[in-house]
Amino acid sequence: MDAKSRRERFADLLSDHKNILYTVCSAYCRNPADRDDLAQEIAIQLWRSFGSFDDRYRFSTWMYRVSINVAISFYRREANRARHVLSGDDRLIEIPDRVERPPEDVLLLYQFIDGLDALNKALILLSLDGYGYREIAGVVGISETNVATKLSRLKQAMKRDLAGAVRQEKDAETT
Amino acid sequence: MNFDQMTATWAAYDRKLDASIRLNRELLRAGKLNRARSALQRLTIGLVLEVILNSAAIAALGMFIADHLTLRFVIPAIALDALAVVNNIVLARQIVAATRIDYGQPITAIQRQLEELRVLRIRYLQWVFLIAVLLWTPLLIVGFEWLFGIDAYQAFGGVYIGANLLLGIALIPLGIWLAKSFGPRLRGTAIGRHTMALIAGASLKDAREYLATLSAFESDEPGEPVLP
Repeated sequence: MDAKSRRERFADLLSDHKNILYTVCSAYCRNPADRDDLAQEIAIQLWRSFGSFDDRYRFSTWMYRVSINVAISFYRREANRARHVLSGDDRLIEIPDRVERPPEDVLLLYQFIDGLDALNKALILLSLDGYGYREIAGVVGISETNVATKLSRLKQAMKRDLAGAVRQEKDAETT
Repeated sequence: MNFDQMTATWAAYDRKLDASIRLNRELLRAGKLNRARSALQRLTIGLVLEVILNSAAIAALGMFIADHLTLRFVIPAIALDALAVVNNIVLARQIVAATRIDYGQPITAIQRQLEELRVLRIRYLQWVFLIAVLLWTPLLIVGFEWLFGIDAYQAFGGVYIGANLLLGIALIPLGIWLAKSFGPRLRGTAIGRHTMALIAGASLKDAREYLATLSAFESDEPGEPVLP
């Protein structure tokens, strides 16, 4: 495969899975400017690692691995992070203003995810995206039993948190 | 709302997002990603440059030693040379560790590798900061003789040189104490805060704690989800 068709294939795959890029960036970065930087950093790393992608596996699984690994590193680097990896005008992802506001449930979910540490964020994102225990275990690098245990605890915590938030909203409405 | 309902709501929103998000394909097509460097590549390039500079220093010091075969110059030059060699070994270890990192591997494994590299880098930088204080004296002796042909022993006297060495040793605990006591309160630049955290040992403590968190996460230890 020549360089041009390799780039085309990469662009196609990335385009088909652009939601992963958005989801990971939104979950790991609160600041929109940082989100842009993170999206670029992830895209660069995906491209750099694309040579080691094994066609026998799902691209989305591999993309989640790379994206979350980069996001956690980016998140840990904090003040040390390099900005504007590509020039300022080159935005990889564009989200038009007309995107409708997420439903209240999704906002609460984002709020819950925001409160989690980097590793548990990965578990919940993969689970919400419909991945099974075995696949999550492969992406995160822990046993299936461990995934099941942790997800069960996370789901309980989520239920508690969301119920609490809904109760607070109702209280605010009545007062 | 249970988790399955939540997953369905999430998926529905994801589909709406998919229609709205636009990926800048031109950016990908134009091969701009080829020219951009990831954070790890930038670190590796920096490390390679450090090795090149160090190697040049090793070669130059070797030439200096060959030209000044007297103990008064050979001892400080060998001290500098030995440090440069050790430096290169530690830098080479960092380069090997950095080039082995494959982001396509499982998250906990890569995060462990990255944090171990960070520990190596922190220890190396701490060592450089501490040694730099002691290096001042041999650097003065070798530098003056080499650049200006001035014998520092005669120009400044043995007492001055000895006092400098002792002062350097005394400055190490003082620097650590200052960084620990006042570092966290410094507001200045990010690099300044980072340097203070490095000298005070806060960065190393943070890296070790993160490695412990990773180990706890990998094991089936019960506990509530950890909040940041």
